[in-house]
Amino acid sequence: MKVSLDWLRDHVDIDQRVEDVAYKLTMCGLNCEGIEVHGDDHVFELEVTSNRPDHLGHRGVARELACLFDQPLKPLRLDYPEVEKDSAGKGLDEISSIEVDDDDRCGRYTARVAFDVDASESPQWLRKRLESIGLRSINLVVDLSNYVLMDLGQPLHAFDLDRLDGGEVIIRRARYGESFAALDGSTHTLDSDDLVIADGSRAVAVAGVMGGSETEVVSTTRRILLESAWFDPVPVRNTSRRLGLASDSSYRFERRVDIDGADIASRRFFHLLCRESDSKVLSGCWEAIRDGLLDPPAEVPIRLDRTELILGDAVPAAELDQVLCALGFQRSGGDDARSLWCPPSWRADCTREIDLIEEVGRIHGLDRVPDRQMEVRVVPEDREALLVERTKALLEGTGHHESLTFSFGSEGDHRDLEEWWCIGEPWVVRNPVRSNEGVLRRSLLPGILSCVRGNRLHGVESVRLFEVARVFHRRVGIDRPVEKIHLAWVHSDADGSGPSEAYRQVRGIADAVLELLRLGTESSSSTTWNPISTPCGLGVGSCASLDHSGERLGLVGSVSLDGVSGDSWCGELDLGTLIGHSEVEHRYREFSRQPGVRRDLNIVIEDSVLWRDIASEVDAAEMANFEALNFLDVYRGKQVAKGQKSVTFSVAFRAPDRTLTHEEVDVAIGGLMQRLENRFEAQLRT
Amino acid sequence: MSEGSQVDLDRIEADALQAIEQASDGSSLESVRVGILGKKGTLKQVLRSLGALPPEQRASFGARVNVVKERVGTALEEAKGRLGSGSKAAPTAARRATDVTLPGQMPQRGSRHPVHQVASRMIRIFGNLGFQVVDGPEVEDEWHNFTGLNIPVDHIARDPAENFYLEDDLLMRSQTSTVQVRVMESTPPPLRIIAPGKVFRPDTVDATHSYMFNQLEGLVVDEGMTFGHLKATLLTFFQQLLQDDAMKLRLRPSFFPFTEPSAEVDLYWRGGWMEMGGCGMVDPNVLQSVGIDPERWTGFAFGLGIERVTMASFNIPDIRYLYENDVRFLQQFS
Repeated sequence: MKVSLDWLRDHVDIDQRVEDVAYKLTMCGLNCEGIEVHGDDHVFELEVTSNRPDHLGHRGVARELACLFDQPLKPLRLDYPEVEKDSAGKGLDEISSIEVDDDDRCGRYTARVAFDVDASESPQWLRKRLESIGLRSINLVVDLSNYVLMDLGQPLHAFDLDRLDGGEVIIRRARYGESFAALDGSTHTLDSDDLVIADGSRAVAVAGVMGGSETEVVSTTRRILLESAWFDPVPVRNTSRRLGLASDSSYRFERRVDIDGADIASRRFFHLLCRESDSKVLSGCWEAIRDGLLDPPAEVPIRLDRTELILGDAVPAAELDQVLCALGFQRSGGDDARSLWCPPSWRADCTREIDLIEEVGRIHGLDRVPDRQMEVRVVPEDREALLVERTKALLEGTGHHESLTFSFGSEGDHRDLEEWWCIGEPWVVRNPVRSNEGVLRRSLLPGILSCVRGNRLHGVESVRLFEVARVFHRRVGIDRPVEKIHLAWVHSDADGSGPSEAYRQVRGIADAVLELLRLGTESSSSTTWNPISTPCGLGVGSCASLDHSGERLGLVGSVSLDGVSGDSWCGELDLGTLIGHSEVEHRYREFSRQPGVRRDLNIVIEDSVLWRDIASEVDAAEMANFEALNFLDVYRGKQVAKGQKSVTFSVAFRAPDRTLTHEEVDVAIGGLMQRLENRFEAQLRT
Repeated sequence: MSEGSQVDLDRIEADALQAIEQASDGSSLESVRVGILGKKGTLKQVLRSLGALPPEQRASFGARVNVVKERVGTALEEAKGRLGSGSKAAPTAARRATDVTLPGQMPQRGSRHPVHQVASRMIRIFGNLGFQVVDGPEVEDEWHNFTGLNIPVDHIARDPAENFYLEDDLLMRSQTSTVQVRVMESTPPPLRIIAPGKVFRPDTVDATHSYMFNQLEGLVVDEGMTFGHLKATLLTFFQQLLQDDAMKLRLRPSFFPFTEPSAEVDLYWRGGWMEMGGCGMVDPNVLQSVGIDPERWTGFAFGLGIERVTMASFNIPDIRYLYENDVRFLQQFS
């Protein structure tokens, strides 16, 4: 909100430097975001928090300064001359009537009437005040209502009484489909949720939001009816939002204006109107108040020791008294250790002890509170976080850049991939910012692949990305998304290697992660890689699934990206679940220091036999002192018969306690070859 | 016969490898080669005995000889490289030297996303201050996102236009403060935790706003916790983060429904104050709603914007750069 320093001086004497005033305001909760020079005046741009509607007027800000600088707030003149009858000899209730149909939404309504109004140009001082905060002068009546709004924070609305049908004012719900022409030139269709001010025939204002163009005060207006009301905050906000119509008035009503302010602001307006023109004000005031709204608020206690406990600084009883009094609170009892206070009508936010402690702290100065260190505490190590961190380090160390994508996804692209991870429907976002982000992602890959594509199209030739983030699955019987931590990575190269090499590179990352988690597929038979035969969104025939006791925990494979040459290769693991299965423990284990024996075997075998089958046969052979099986190479071509391939691998042996003899290794290898021959008709390559 | 050959073969290989290793110049290496692989070399002799084997063993024995031949050949090549000797022309000093001014062959280096780098740093610093990391879901219910945080039913923060709602009362969390409520529900005080993570608000995207960003939430509940403890904790954190004892921090009074007194955390940065997040003393209503007695326990909470810190640390002018995942951007932070 724009606040003029000169204007503030109408309410409180300030002789401090402009910068000091701005700093003081900032450090009591009114953040000064800028200072504009306006002739001999300075205008602050203040950020007003939503709990302080009393700061949405100059007097409210001035009250804060009066408290900060220990100055009195100047009294406000509200008096004006009244006349009993107008020129036609009629009193207030003979020329107008007020009826509140819906006091659920209108807590207070006041109306006063003036005649012989000269709504011409405003005096210089008034124009200067309005212009300093960026408002345009229109005519005296409109300018004064704006001035009082910006001075006291109470919205006012003046109707041209001669244009109100029957001089009637009815506060009622709009009729469904009722149309309304606002004074900003826009037209709106209302519904029965909206509260309107109507005359005998139509809506003339949307309550708390904006007046209508047909009853606005113009330079020829002679009689006015001035509304000063208190509307309930939430309905005003809802209507304003629904109509897309906001104003300085709706902004204040939404935040709850001072219930006592309605009458004060109305009288202030007529005091100024009579001072600046020869207008005559009819005595009396139409007023409707909802029961209980003007009841004094409950007393609030504040304890000195509690204040010290919260702030960490002792505030003397005298200072506490002074601060609260200056802010408009009235002491109603208690002693210094526990005093009782009655909050002012404009401080609906202060109902509890903590609210008063905050007031005292704010004015006392939070920056004056001395620093206090906490004692040191031991933090238990977070195993999952540690393993995620190591996984990320592995990906970084192998040349991958970490991406950061959004948790949203689209339903269309890569549907097979998303459904491979979770068959349940995706969770739908009701109001996505982008049309292709209408659901929560079930797989990380679509998001990363789109980044890969972007990079490749921008001419980055070799792209390696990874990300650890959450996916959101739907499970029967669980009424909220199941959030899982996934790892995904992608390799995409302009001059890529052959498919089997590319596959082994991308798969190698998965294997390294499994190894890191001590879940390597070579050693643990419960985790296996299997060919995927159903559609999973990746290239058919070259994708594999990582399965753990029937659970899908990962996949790797290729994907072709629109407009990008060559295949991209990618993988995704359910990292959170894998970590759950992991039993990483770093503790010394005895190992054999005996020399080992390694045998390289080169066998010719049917092309359809998978490495997994060979490996499981090696496992099943249960060879004594077997240490490790390592794949070396596969060859298809002229040197072997059609439909066959040659596979080279090594088998390593090591005994815990002695040097192995070649004889015993030969026996083991002979037995293994026999098994391979029986099972797959494998032959040693000659 | 086959057993004897087997032993011979292994010994031949072992002897040969040892001789190669001990060869001190090109000519001694060459004589080793001739002795093993030459026309009258030991391997040739072994092969000649092949005929004496039963036919079904010939193939596998032949293959074994070839394997030994290959290994010895490889060892010879390696030794040649080591001794710098070609078998023909005598090497000159110039030919032997490596052009050490050639560029090295670098392994491919990856990188961590700058936001995660900063988050890790923040976690580490708070870890040293005794804060434990906890995690909460990105999808929340209204109780944890609003009600438990003292945000009343008609509060503007609940407006559907201000949030990403899913089904029923589920929504993407709009702040990591939700984790405060979850921790306090499940764990009795004293508490000293941080919760980093993604939050979601349908803001219009510009150079400083995104509808998803990362926050780091902190919460301390203990006996005797005051605003002074909050100040000291944040000050120590930022001193560590910026590696500057003299850095300036100010806590400017503000308003949040779940803390009171509340303050904005402003950092003095390149000649001006920059908002880094919000903080305050935990509102008694928040403590009460999870069954903690606010008369006995007090506490403080803070929420810092990780992107803010990242942009300041790395001098990144536009928040959108952080989410483009352009390799040319990412690799700058490797």
